[in-house]
Amino acid sequence: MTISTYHISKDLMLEEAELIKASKKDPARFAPLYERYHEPIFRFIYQRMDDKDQAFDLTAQVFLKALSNLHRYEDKGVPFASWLYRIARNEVYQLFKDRKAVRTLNIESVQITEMFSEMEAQNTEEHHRLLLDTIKDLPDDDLQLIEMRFFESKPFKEIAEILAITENNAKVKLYRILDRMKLMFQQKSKAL
Amino acid sequence: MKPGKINMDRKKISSEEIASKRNFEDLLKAHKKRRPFYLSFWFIGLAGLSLLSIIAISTYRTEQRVKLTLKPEAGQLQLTKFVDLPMKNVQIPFEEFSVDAKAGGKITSASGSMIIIPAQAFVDPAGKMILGKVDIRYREFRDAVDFFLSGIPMGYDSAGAHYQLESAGMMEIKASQNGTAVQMAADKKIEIRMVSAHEGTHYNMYELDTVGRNWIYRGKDKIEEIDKIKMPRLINGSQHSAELTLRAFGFSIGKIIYVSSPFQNLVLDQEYAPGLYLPKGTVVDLKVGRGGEEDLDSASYSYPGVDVAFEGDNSEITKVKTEIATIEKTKPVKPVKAKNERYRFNVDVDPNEFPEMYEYKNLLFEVGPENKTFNQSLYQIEWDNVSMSYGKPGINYNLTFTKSGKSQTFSVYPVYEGKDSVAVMKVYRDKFRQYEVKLKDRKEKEKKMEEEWKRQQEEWAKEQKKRQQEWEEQQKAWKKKDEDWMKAKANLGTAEVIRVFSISNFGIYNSDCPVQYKDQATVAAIFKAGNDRFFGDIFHIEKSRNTLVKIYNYDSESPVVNYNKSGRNILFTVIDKETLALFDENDFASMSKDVKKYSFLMKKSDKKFNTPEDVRAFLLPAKENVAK
Repeated sequence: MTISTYHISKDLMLEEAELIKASKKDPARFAPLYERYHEPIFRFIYQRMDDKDQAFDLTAQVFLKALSNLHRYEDKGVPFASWLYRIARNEVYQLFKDRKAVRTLNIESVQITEMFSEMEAQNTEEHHRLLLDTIKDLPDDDLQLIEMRFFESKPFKEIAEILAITENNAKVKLYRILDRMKLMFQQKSKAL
Repeated sequence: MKPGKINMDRKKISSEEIASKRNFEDLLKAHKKRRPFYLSFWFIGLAGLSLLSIIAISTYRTEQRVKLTLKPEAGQLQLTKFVDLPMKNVQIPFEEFSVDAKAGGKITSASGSMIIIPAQAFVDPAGKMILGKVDIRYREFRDAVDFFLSGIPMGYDSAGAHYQLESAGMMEIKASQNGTAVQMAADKKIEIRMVSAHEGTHYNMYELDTVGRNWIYRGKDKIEEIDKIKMPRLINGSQHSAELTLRAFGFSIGKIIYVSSPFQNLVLDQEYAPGLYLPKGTVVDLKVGRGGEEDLDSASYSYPGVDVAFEGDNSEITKVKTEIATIEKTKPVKPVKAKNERYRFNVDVDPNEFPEMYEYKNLLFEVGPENKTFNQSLYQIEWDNVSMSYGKPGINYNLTFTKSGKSQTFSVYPVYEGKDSVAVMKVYRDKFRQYEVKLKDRKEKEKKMEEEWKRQQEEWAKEQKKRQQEWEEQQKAWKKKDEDWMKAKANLGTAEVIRVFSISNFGIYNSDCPVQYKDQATVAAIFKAGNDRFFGDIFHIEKSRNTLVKIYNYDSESPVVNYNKSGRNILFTVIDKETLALFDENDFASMSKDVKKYSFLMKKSDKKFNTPEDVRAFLLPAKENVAK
């Protein structure tokens, strides 16, 4: 079960804060946080990679890094999960940069349908192919937003926290990306 | 970062599977191995370079500047690889085999270990049963050098305690089809019968879990003692051998052929299986059959095809050649017009003897000008006999006159008188035409026969060459089998038992005894390779223990060496991934036994290591009394 980190109660957030404080003194107290976020972090990583074993290794790496750098973490009213996601994102991209893994997009057909709906385009086989081409041609920053919104179904608030931007900014960025995609898509269609 | 790959509707991974990979204990252990970042050398160093050098000097308390090599990258915290190959170019090689997936089969490794694969044991990643040939790769790790080269961890964590694993033998097995890994069917097990130099029931079976980063306990293996039946070997590639039918383990192993001098009347070479270990109680039926009576020790086999002479028949060619010679001899001589000044004879020619003369009318024979002794008086003599014979073919004839035992021979030429020229030339032309046709026919026949003869000879030569090659290849194969047998025999010397266990997955399995060493000396260590301070994995072997201890040596804080004071110890490390530095047994012996802190100066080898044998020869020189 994937926990939606942005719907945790205030009580749960307070509990997390206490756990983090205790973990800074005694790393063994980190266990509940590890148990809670292991799966979502793994899924975040695996969403971007092809190799499952490598994703598991990297997940372990993320938590090791988190535990080892916990002394740096400050509660600024941002969920602890977003800090973990940022570490995960950095680790994944470092792997791509070091050419130790292939940047992969994992998409479900139903998500493509959603995108077509947003782009106000028809979902045909031809358009399907064009859309994938368009997605592949996106700059990485744009791709990350599309990925988190459409392929991981993350709410804007969560996307904003991970990317360290405002929620409104996340929304505006996404719709601009969709507009650009529509244009690219139309140009590709005409070229056929 | 543009995506290199897009997966559509990839198979989802379940929460259960993700949960199975969670291990907080591992995370905690990994974290504990590393000091917090704020206490790391680099964090202190961030306060300023001068402060850095002051701290460096004061930390190491040396008057000399030392070169520091931090590994991994300073300030970065990394999980080390679980199976960490220290020398990627030096590996224990796999043996490669094939089995039929439907039928299963038995594999015997060079060491004598056996792998028994049941029928229909393999499935593809989707769980579908596989048919056809499956490739099996198998290798064993027997001693500390093997463990070192494998990179396989020899530590085991259980219930919060750490143990060192002393091994009775470790193996790795993989299976694939057309390059794609296959799995075992859920209801099948493969039996492994691993030879081992270690007796004892205190060993357990473990399977290496590379995801969970630990060994998984899989129960106890069964032990069978080996009855070392003397296995003779093939001598000089001789085909003479004995056939042993082995019935063991409830089914027939098959026929194994060996040579031994007591055997007489032997059967010819058949299947050869090197280094088979027979458990006690194995029934061995020795069968003997036909064979030669040569002394086996000096027997050599002459392949039947090599020295055989070419047996082609060219008598027909000889016959045709004779015919051609006969035809050429009877080449028609062109008659010429008679010369008045020359002597002539009218000769009754036998057409059977001179068929080319047949049909000529009024043909005379003129004595040639080269006959200087001929004169008219010879006409007056009544000769006892006159005979004609062939002269130069196509040119003339010889006429021989005989009286009272004396002969005179003159060369004569067929001539005609003017009025007969038309008729004579017609006959000549016809005769010559016939002659040419006949000669041509025979010559063509001769040519075909000679070509056929040449072809037969070439084929024979080719066949001989092929037989010779086959013979040489067979000898090479015998020699290889002999060498394999000798290698297995070398292992035979150290093998004591067969450890039997079953596996349900492909991977790495270990027959181990987890130990926690007591009463060891403890020394805080600084390691040097050559003259430089060295940071990197350090390996410790105590020669009476079949294990390998890996010492983590990356921090500025001294790691610790725990060792058996009365044991035979060595420490070593890898330099630049291709050579080694060693603190050998003598170095250990010269170390004071009461020392609490020590600088281990490891001597670098000046050679590169290319094979496991190179490494073993360096770390454990020949005739070492090392647990194997």
